[in-house]
Formats: sequence, C-alpha cells, structure tokens
Amino acid sequence: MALCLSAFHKVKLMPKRLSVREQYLYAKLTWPELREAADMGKVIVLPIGSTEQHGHHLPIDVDNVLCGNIALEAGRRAPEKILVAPLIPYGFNVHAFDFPGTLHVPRSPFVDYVVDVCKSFAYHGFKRIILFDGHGSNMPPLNLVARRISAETDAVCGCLIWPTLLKVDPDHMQTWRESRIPGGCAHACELETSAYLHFAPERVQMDKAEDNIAWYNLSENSRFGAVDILTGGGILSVVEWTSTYTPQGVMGQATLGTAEKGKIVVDETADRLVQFVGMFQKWSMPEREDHHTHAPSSPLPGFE
Amino acid sequence: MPTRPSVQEQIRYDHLTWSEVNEAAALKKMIVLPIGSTQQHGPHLPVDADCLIVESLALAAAEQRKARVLVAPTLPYSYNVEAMDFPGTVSVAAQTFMDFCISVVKGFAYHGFDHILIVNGFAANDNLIELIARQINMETGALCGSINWTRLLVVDEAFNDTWRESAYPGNSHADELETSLYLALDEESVALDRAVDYLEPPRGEGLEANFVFEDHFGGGAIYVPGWTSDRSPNGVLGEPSKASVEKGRRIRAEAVTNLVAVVDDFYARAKRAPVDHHTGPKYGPLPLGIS
Repeated sequence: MALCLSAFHKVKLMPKRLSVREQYLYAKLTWPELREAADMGKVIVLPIGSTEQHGHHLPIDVDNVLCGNIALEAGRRAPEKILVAPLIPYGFNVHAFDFPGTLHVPRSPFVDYVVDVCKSFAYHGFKRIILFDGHGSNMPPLNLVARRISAETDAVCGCLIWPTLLKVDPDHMQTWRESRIPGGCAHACELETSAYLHFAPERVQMDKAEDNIAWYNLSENSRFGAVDILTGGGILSVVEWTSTYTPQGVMGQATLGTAEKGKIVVDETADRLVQFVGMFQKWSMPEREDHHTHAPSSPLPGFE
Repeated sequence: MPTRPSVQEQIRYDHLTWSEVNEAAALKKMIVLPIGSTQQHGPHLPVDADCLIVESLALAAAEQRKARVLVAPTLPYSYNVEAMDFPGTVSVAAQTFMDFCISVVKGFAYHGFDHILIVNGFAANDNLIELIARQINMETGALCGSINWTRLLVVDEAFNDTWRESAYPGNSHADELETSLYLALDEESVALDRAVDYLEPPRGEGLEANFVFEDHFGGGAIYVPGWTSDRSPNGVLGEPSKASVEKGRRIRAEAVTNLVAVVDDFYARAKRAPVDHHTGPKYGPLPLGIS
C-alpha cells in the first residue's frame, strides 16, 4: 500500500523565496536581508506568551497560540511594515503553579532576557519594537522592559497585551460579547476560548468547558476588586494564588466561546495592530533636555 | 476534524491541558526541551537554523516514542555575543540565559517530571547547557541530561564519511552539514544561489595547525574564542556549496534514529542518591552557588 501511495506524489514546484519586503518572519531572513529590513524601517513585533494552565478544555499553550498567531496575522496583512520575531514561550507565572504544566521564569531573569533580546534588535538597527504580550501577569515586568529599552538604547519600545487592542473601538465589544461584565472575560474565558477555536479547534475540548465567575467579581463580595480583560475591573489590584479563586483554572464564561467570535476578535486585533504599527513607524521621540546647570559627573543610577 | 490525541499519544507538552499534565507525569513521560539560537547563518540560510534543526529532530524522535516523550516549546534565544557583528543575531547575557532555563526546567520537576533532556542547537553554548543540567541535578529530585544534536552523528563512526565532501577542518557553521539539513527540513527558505564557501586559513604550520581549529566533528586542542566577524567575512565557516537535500535527508534520518536511542537510554537511567561521607557537623550550606 505504501508503494502505491508514492505514485500519487505530485511534482512540487519550488515556491519563489519571498523578498525582504514580502517576508514578515524575522526567523526566515538571512543576515544581509535583516540589514535590509532594518534599513526599510520595519517594526519588530515580539510575541511573548506563557506556558500556563487554561482550564480543562484548553491546552497550556493558549497564550502562545493567541499572541503568536495574531502577530502572524498582522504580519500577513502588512509584511512591508512588520517583522514578527520568534516567540518567547515561557513567562512570569508563579501564581498559577498549583496547576500542573504551568511554567515560570522569575522576574529578574525574565526581564533581563527580554531586555537583551530587544537590545539585540536595537543593536542591528531596528528602532521600533513592540512587545506583543499574551499573558496578563507578564505586563508589569514587560512595562519595565519597555522603559529600559527606551531609556538605555536609541530604540523606542512599546508594550501591550493583545486584548487591549479590542478597546480601541469602544463599540466593538458589543458586536460579539455575551458574557457577564465584569468577569466573563478574564482567563480561559469567552474571549480566549473563542480565539483558540478560531486558530485550532481540534485541540479544544468544548465538552469539558466550564464557567467560573471568580468571587471577587461579585459585587456582594468585593466592592473594588473586579478583574476583566476587556473592561478592566475594580480600582484595587490584589494578586493571589490562582487556586484560591478558581477550581478548574477558568475565570470567565468559557462555554460562550465560538470560532465565529474568535474570527471577529482576531480580525479586529490584527487590523488594529497594523494600524498602530503604521503610527509607530513615524513615532518621533522628542529630544531629551538635561536641566542640570552643572553637568552630572556620574552615570545615571541603575542604568545598564 | 482530526481527533485529539490521547495523553499517551500526545508528543507536545504545550498541547496538553493542566489535568492531562498530571496524567502525563503519572505515565512517567520524559521532557525533551529544544534550545536553539537566533543567529546569522551566512548569506544563504535564515537566522532560525539552530531552532529549526533541534525542534524538528526532537519532534521526529518523539513521534517514534510517543509513550515516553513530551517535547516542550523551543527556546529561541540564547547567549551569542560573538556573532553580534552580523545583523539579526540575538544574544542574551549568559547568566540570564542560564537562570531563565533553570527556572523552566525546575517547573517540569515541580510538576512531577523526573527526566528532562535538553537538546541543544548551538555548540558554543554546550558548556552553559551543561551547567544548567548540572544545577538541576544538584538542586532537584529530577535527572537532567543534555546533548548537542551534532553528537548524534558520531554514534556510528563511519556515518560522516558516507556524506561528507567538505574539507576537514571546515564544517562548523552554515556549512555543508547545516545547509544540507536545512534543505531537507525547509528547502524553500534557503537562498542556495547565495551560498559562498569560506574556510579559515590554518593558524600555524605543520603540527602547530592542530592547536587551534574548529569543526563540528572534532576541534583543536585549545579553544580560543573570538569575534565571528574576525574569522569569516560572510558568516560561513565551511563549504555550503557541497550541501544537498539528499545529504540532508540522510543526516536527518541518522540524527533521529540516534536521538531515539539516546531517549531510550536516558529514560532507563535512574537518578542515584548521593552518599555524604562527612562525619562531623557542617557549619554552612553547600558552597556551590546552589540556591
């Protein structure tokens, strides 16, 4: 049987190698081509995810699959402006460690690792870098990375977690969201389940999807402590062990996830990312002005 | 719609749910962690060569040992300051890189995986990877081993003679070996028309040439680090013009066969308990930088 099958192999014509202008994958360029890409002013989009529990119904690669694929989708839409760098699949995540599979990199090596990756891009002439995050708890350390890159190099670095792009158009959320506000979209929820169903439905076990509105999202329990990816939440931030507020790892209404909603949010996010990249390419950084009357005689503290 | 593989059949760590990770640990699966580098590979190969090679070998070996292996997500950036004169190369400080990896591997141990095998794609980092694995073995109950993928081609001593046409020494970067394998894995991403050979001139005459030289399959007696741009005008160290898809397929098959054998060997190896021979009291912790 195996021998018979070989007769059906088609003659494969070698596809033409993409030009630097057409190629949006950093990984697939050679070094002379990367020099050219830097000269073209392409913006680096660095997806940073996490390997982390996402309930019984979603695999632990949700953050990587979502931020990675949305970045690629944006790259496909604007390859002349965007270079998507290889994704960093491990993030800052100790709070979820009661759930098997979750991996964690402590704050200091995580920040230093991303800083050095970005400094490498800046060194080679890429002066606009976007940290494209897929995991909420990465945001405080990634804010620090962006500040350090902007202060310690001549590049400008911006950071965001992808769902915030769904807030650029304040009317957009009404076109798809059905879950409770606040709390219906926080983790392994309506939003993440939908987006994953769009990219890889065969890996989702919808029959195991469960809803969970975390206790702090109920106003009778907490006046200020709500958490929701899209609407923000309360004014008070309290980070505790994940296992204290969800039995299965879901925060939100996973059962409301559909591939159709996933396509809507992925399209919107990718388009908004392309739109911001266009702005960011032209972003001008005002010159620093040193207001000391005596020039400082020692370096800036903590400046590496 | 393809059916979702069972935990027994699943070869990717990151495709499991958290409850399935419990099952995978109970099944005594071992973790294979590919570590690559994003770095220049001459004018003809993309900068992901190291990552592509280790990830594809790990997944291919896992396909043959589904019941034993889970491949974790590839780490694409590592320490590589010497190649920074070539655009595209990414380098992370050595200490940061090691701390990052140690934390990831400790995560596997915490969740009940007691065998972790690191497959490294960038030979210059072999020593850093060894330090990572060593620290895991001293600080956790898990056993961590490491291997550079090129070592898989010396298991059968006669193998390299069956394909190698390039000069010795000479196969060391973006060369006949890496170019052939890349062609076998992702031919359309290779700009073969731009491949230009470069062989370093010998560093001395006669026997003195044996002090310092580099090759994937045996280097000189002494390792003298230096900037890549001092050593090669285009980032190539070797003869990519001698590469072919056919050689790459054979190299891939040999590497995968032997990686499966390494997996079996490592899987069967139990961690042995240390024996403390001190008789008196201790007044401090182990001074090994162990935390």
